[in-house]
Amino acid sequence: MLGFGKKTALVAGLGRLESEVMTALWAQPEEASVRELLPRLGRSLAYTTVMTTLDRLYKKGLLTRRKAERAFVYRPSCSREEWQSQRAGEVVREFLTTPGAAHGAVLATLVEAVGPGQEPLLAALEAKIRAHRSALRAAEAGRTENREPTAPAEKSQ
Amino acid sequence: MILSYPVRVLCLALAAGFLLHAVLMLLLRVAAPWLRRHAERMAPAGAARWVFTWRLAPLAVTALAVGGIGLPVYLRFEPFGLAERVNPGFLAAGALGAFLCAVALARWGRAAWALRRLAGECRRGGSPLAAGADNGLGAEASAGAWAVRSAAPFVVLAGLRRPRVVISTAALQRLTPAQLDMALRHEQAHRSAGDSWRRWLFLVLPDALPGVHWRGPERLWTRYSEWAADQTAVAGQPWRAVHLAEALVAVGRGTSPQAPLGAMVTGLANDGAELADRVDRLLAGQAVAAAPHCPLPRWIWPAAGALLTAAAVYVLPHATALYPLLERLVR
Repeated sequence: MLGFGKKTALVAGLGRLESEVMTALWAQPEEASVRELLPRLGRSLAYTTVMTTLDRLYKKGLLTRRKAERAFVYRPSCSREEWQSQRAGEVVREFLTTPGAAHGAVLATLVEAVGPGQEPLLAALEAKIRAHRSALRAAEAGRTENREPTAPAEKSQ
Repeated sequence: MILSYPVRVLCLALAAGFLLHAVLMLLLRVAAPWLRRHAERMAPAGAARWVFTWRLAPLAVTALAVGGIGLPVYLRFEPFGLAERVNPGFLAAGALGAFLCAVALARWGRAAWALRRLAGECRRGGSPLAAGADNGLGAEASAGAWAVRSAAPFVVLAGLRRPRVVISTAALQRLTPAQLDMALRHEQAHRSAGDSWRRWLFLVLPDALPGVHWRGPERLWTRYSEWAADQTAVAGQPWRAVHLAEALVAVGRGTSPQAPLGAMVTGLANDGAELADRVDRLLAGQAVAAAPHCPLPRWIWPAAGALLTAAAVYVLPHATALYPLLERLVR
């Protein structure tokens, strides 16, 4: 229950009919009008039901559409994988931005989010890191230089 | 009020558990400054374990005392099946115990649901992060990591049984290969240390009193576990410390045009102090140098063992003496 297990048939973040419509469009990614899509859905549905669903999916940004003659034709705006990846990203982000212990308990973040108005602190930290980086590089260069004169001395011994 | 035998036994378990747990939590709060001071002298990983142990102790001792001694004694000496009048204080303590258990269970349920949802979405939408020469990632760091599309830069360890590192496309774009490698190593260090389970346990541990959620130990543990993961990731190499510090600031900032500063504010209302502390530690070499080994005082484990043995030696023959005490609590 609590791990990463089996897959479900529903498309993440979509209702059953929306999932069916998107699955049909993804399976054959040419443009399709409501009338062309109806037989591909595998069950009898009212024309207006599918039209409303397509309109909803268009508003959600999953479909693009253009007018062909008197009806709209629809096309997926992203692949199934892209949509699911985007959904997953949204969910993780929602977890990070939603206050609540239950959310925090399941996520360990690389760094606790920094609140608004912390730009000066971040800038100071970046400056510190830059300075440290330079110092480290200088120290390494120094070690290399120091090593070169010692080599003949070592040899002479 | 008259309670039937099974209800009374259940109420006794809850009431005794509530009272004992509250007393132990009170003692813990009194001892907290000493415990905290001791943790400060330990290596981060040890300090995280130490904090976790003493936060868990009240519940463990309560469960042992009530389940292992109190209830068996009561069941042994109380006449079976007899309904009995109980005092209101006992009922109130039982109700409070039940309430605290319900709160802990509700938190557990909410977190389980949240985790299931998160795991499902990541499983469907995540694409495996492959190691290779093109991204500079080592197989060890990227093992089991998933990338998801998001404009917010984040690197998280999600899950409980088989936790996975989930990284956003924004973080992949913002971090250099060296920084990304360190970010992944940091999360893998959390995974190896089993921090997901500890985080989970902190959530379900009951509070001392309703409405009093003592988050001090949790915050302290979070800090030490982060320090420990930093130290494991850096593995004594100064450049790694620099890359990790850079990754922390880059991810903490989150200033892509789509995810402006502050878009990732969590409920902990972080003022940036923790981030500054971690960066300072990394740059000061505290996460690079071998951590000072400061174990617990040598006498503490023999003393704890002796105390437990003495308690067992005393309690077991005198267990019958507990019964009147429990009776007094009930009536």
